Amino acid sequence: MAARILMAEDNRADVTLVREALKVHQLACELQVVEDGELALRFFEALDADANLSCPDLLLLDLNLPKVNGEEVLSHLRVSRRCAQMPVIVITSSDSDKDRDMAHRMGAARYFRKPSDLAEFMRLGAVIKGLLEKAIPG
Amino acid sequence: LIAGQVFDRYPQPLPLQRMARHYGISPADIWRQARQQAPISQSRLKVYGDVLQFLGQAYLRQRYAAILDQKLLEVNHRHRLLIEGVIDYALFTVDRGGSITSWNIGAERLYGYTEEEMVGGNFARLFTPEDIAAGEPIEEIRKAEINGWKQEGRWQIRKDGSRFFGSGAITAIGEGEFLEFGRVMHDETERRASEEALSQARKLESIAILERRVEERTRELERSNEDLKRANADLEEFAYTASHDLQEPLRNVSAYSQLFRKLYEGKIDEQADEFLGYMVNGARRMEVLIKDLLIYTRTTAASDEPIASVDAAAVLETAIRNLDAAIRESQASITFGALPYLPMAQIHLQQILQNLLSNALKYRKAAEAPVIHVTGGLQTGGWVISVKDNGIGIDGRYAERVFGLFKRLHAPEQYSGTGIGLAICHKIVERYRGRIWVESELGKGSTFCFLIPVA
Repeated sequence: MAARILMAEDNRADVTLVREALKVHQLACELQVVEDGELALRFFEALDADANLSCPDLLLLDLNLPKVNGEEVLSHLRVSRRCAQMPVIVITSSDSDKDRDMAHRMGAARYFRKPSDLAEFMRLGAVIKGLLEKAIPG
Repeated sequence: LIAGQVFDRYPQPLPLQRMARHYGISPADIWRQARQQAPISQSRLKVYGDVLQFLGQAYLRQRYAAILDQKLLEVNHRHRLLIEGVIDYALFTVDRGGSITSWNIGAERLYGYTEEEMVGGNFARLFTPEDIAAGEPIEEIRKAEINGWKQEGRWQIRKDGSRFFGSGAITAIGEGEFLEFGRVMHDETERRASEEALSQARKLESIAILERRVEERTRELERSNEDLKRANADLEEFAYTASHDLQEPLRNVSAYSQLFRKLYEGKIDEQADEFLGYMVNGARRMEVLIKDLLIYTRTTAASDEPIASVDAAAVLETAIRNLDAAIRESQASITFGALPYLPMAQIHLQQILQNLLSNALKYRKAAEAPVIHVTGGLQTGGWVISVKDNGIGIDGRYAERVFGLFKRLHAPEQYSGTGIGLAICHKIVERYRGRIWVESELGKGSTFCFLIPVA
């Protein structure tokens, strides 16, 4: 079964690059995208409300999101009923120690700084692959 | 007869003349008769003279003593009346040991003791316990004895135990065994209190003025501190914006130009490939420029590191370690002589040395391994550190230009870099009110020097 990944990202160019990275690493995934923080929160609320829906396997979270920022999304996620344990990769262009500390504190599995070099960006595919293998053994 | 001769020849005839007049004898008569007599011997004359002198003096003493006693009594009486009449001033006399020998009505009013209570007693009882403990009563008399007079201003104790501030003087009167001391005291408590209140008020006023000034100054300092904090915050904000917001779209341009090349290179035509190459390089270059600009801005921001005396040799060694790869790749040899301690933040000195060494390694002659020598010493105006290389050198016309931000003398294809290194050095040295310059000739190596003023 293909892994289900939720991506909270307003920059479509980055979404495309992520799709490219998944493709490069031959990851068969279902990538669902929400374009702002508020939509991300609604997504998790809907999950908590409906037991028939299942939690995605991974969240790719941009920090600089419209309406509700990535940090708030992460803190809501950590207290949600069904997805509190969901692995998260923070994907951001920020290099600030403050953001790194925050991500670490909120239990983000990885902190991936968006590089401008294409080859480096493609490495994100390997990072995702590694995490999914750990999260869904076998 | 003898008297006549004595009058004439005795060296001190005056009392005898007076005696002669007293008995109604004319001295001229005596002289006349005396001259008719045979002269008596000098030695007898002396004996008679002495006897007569004694008799005369004894007589005078007796005669005038009564008059003097009378006069003295009159004077004493007048003085006594005068002294007793002074009621606003305490006037009393004490002997050498401080025993009171007289006590006027003013003293009685001021201190509350009657004459009977005080005469014969010691004046030390008028002093405060502190003054007594310090030996002041005896000291007062001692000083009056030495100088004849001493002004006094001190707290005194009344009979009822209350205190007043007495102001006045103590004066030595008479001499030898008759030596006494007259003490005059006046109650100055109120005047002193009002003077103190006045001086206190003046002090308070001065303090208030000072406090106002300090407050104003503090406010000014706080304002400029706030300005500085705001400026630093603005700078940090700018740095963050530059690092994030500016790089964000550029990152997409860069990544997508690379993705485009990956997917379409060789599929359109040669010119498309060439243009794509420019796009990719341009975006990369822009990225480096933004990063360098950030480093440059951070350099100008106040360093948190305290300005201390930093060992230039140790810092140079760190810089050399950091450039290890470039040194090995270029097979450079770097040497240095004795280097001073410089009054600057270590990070700043490291930035300068590393930039200068890095340039010396980079702008080397193609066929020659870099030879770099660093020296330092005290010159007029401060410490000067020089970095001498055997590289390509700089045309004298551009010696100033090389320190400008993003100013370069070579195409990026020839020598990489954005032209930020020397601009950073320049900025740092300026921060320490120093200067940086280059001595060079094209093709003959360069010597970069910077001066840091002695702290």
